[in-house]
Parts: sequence; structure tokens; C-alpha cells
Amino acid sequence: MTQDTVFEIKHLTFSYKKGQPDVVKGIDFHIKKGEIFGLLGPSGAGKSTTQKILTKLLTGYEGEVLYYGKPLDSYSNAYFEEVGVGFELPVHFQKLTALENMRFFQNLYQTQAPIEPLLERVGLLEDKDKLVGSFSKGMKMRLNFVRALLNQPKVLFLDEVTNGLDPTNARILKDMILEFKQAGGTVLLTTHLMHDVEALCDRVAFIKDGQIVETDTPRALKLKYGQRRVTVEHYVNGGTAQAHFDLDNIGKNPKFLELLNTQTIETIHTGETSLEDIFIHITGRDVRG
Amino acid sequence: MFVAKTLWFFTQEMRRMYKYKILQISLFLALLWCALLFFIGAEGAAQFLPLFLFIDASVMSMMMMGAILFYERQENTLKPLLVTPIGVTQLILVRIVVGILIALQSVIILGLFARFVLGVELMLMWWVFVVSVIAFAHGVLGFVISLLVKDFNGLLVNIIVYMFVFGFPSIFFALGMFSPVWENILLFSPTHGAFVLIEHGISRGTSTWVIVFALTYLIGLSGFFLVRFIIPRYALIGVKE
Repeated sequence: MTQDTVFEIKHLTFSYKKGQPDVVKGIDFHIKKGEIFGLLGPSGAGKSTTQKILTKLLTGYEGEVLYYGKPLDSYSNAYFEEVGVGFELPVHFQKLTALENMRFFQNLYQTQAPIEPLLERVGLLEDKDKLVGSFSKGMKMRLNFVRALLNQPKVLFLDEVTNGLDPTNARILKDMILEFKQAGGTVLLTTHLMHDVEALCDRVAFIKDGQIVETDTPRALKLKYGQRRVTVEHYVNGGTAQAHFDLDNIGKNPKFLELLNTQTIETIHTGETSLEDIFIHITGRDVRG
Repeated sequence: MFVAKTLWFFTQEMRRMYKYKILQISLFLALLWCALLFFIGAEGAAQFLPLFLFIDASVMSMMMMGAILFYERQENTLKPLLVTPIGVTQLILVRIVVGILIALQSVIILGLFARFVLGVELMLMWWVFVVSVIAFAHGVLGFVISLLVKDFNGLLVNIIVYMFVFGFPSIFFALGMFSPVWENILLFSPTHGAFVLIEHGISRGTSTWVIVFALTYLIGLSGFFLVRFIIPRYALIGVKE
């Protein structure tokens, strides 16, 4: 382990009740400082349980969870000064305004980020004095994200952070996450949305039935699970025809070169696999759970 | 910093009680009791005042605590509190103190009304003290029941059962339907201890050992439930949200 390792998880095992099957079954992974790490898997796979352990909501696990080299359970509540948590569902007092909600939580921390610039960034400044109960789900989710940043955390735990957001607001939040990373922050992202993973994650771990079955960078996974093929669509007699070629030594493939030189090419695609395909391949389940 | 955070959390909880109209409902009930006392008249007020205070400090404290906790469950707001530097014990104790203050609002209004409008001889400071203990104990019991049931209706049903089992024997005893020897056994009922302590504020005839036993029993019982039941289980509710 190096000083750059924020979390090191060794043989982590957890069961909600004694005698019941383990939900997390001896998993190992680490999260480096300044990286966005995606924990992916179908519903019930154990990713939320793992996140709850890392946010100290769950105790009584077996194995080791180290935060900057020290056991997580050796940290007092001061640990929460360093972490921000963005939950999957809205977590606000409905009869307080957005600003009142943020102030309620912000003053529980020593380090405090200015609230209004954050609200402005996520497009909620004009609504700061409205009751949260009158907000749409998307607005509540944006407020969730602001709440996670109130203490200027070093580590962010984000669960389905863009859930219920339109593409424009989802982009704003993703940009803010990337800026957080560029400023040296570390992120653990749990999501079903593979577009978010592709846009954000440096490394991902796929978790299935409580076990990590694959950990790597999205690019490496795409190369590993992708087909090394090129598909060419070309014009033939008023229609479109497809031809497939091996990617290896394609520059010396006479049939490929002849096709390029003699036909009207419509599209050329490599057989790159999407993370969604990889998700289904690895977990055997659709991304929606 | 610990004190500052706790104080902040306390002021915000009080503000929340105002925003959620729990303070106003409690105030309205206190004024309603005052109106009832006014119509009953000064003579009857001395008899009914302890009963009204008892209901306010016990049943209302349990219901207020339930309302606080069920709003919290409905809005998923426990989980984000559990990932702040404020501890679970602080969270629970602040809520119980808020419940005590709401009960004190009633006792002060009722006590002042009875003393200065109706001219009832009473020990207001004694009531402030014992209602704090009673509201603490019943706030804790309300907390326990709220952790065991699924919704607010479940809480109401359990409060009715609780009052039926523990409250009616005390009322029957007060009406002279039980022989005085039963009092020692009845003191093991939290409601009876509460009623005896409140009644002492007017009758002043309760023996010292009964007062000491009732206070010790209520505080001890609350401490037991707090340490052995509420603190270990409260955080789990947040995890399940």
C-alpha cells in the first residue's frame, strides 16, 4: 500500500444477521487518491452494502477496511469531516427551504463550503428560499449533491448521482465531479448508468453476488471484452452491404484494401464493446437490475 | 466544537418543530386545557389539573416523539445525519430534550393560568422539574415504540394499549377503587409514578420515599431503554432507509 491509497479493502465479508448468507463475500479492492472508482453491479449484488460499510453506516464486518492505512473503525466521527455522501434518494426536510436544509447540515461540520455558489452551479439559486417539498425529483437530487459537498470533502461517495436528472443537469453534475477529482478529490461512484461510468470513472469493479468479478479501467475492459473486428458498410445496388475483417494486420488485408478502393463506403466501425455490454456479459443481468 | 455542534443541532431541531407546526399544536393543546379548566372552575381545576398535566407530559410526549421520528423516516433524513460528525447519542438526546421543552411549554402555560387566573395553590417549579422527568421517560418510551412499529398508526395503537395497561389502574386507584396497599405495586407502573409526582404539586401529601422511588424508577427505566435499546437500534433504522 502506498500513501496514494485512500481505501484498501481486504477480504471484506458482511452479513446483515448472524446465520444469514453473506451479502459481501470476501472482496478485495483499493481506491487511489484522486481517482474516480466505479462500483458496478446489479441490484442486490452488494455494492450499496459495501458503500454503507465505507461510510460507517454499517459495522460488524469481517476483513479489513483501511482508510489511509488505518482501520476505518479506529476513526472517530471526525472521519465524516473528510467525506461527503450523495444518496440515491432525496434526503431533505420537506418543510424547510433549500437554503435552510443546507444550513442545517453545513453547521454540523468544521469546514464549510459557501452554499450559494454551489446552489448557483446546479441551477438552484433562484429556488433557494422555496420549500423542498415543492421541488421536483431532479431538483431534490441536485440538492442532494450540493449537500454532499457542504463540508468540502476529500472523498465523495455518490450513489446513482444523476438519477432523475435531465441530460443538461446530469452534465453539470458530471462536470463538477470531474472538477472535484482534478482538485485532488477521490470518488466512489455507484451507478447503473454506464454512460456516467464511461464519462467519469478511472477504474471500475464489477460486483456480482457479493464478489468482485472484474476490476480494471473502462478502456482495458473494452479491449478485453471487445471483438477485434472491423465492420464496413458499403453501397451495393441501391442498398447497403456489410463486410467483416479481423482488426489484426488490417492494413495488409487485401480484401479490406480492395473494398476501400473499389466501393462507396458508408460507415466503418471497430468492434468496440460498450460498458453496458460488458456489464451484461460479466453479471449476466441487464444494467437496470 | 462538540458543544457548538450540539447547540446548533438543538436550535435547528426547535426550528424544525416550529416549521412542522409541532410547537403550535402543543401550544394549542395547552390553551385548550386552559379553556377546559376555566369552564370547570377553580374548585374543580385543582382536581383536573394534575390529570391534564399527566396526559400532556406522558401521552403527548410519546406522540410528539413518534411524530418527530416518523417525519424523519418519511423524509429519509436520518441517513444523512448519520454521516455527519454529530454522534447517534447526541442525536437522540437532543430530540428527547426538544420533547421535554415542548412538554414544559404546556406545564408553564397551564400552571400560570391555574395559579393566576383561577387562583389554584400549586408548586409550579416542582411541576417544571417532575414534568421534565416524566416527559423524558415517556419520550424514551415513545422512541422505543416508534422503533418497533412500522407507521404512526402503529404508534397510536401501542400508546392506547400502554395507557390501557398502565394508565387505567392509576386512574381507578385515584378514584378510590383500589385499596391503598396496591400503591406500592402500582409504583412500578411508569404512569402511576408520573401521576403521583404531578399530583404532589397540588396535594403536597406524598411521602418522600414514594417521590424518591418514582423519580429514581422513571429515570432508571429511561436510562435502561436508552442505553440498551434505543442507541444500538436507532442507527439501523437509518441504514434501512
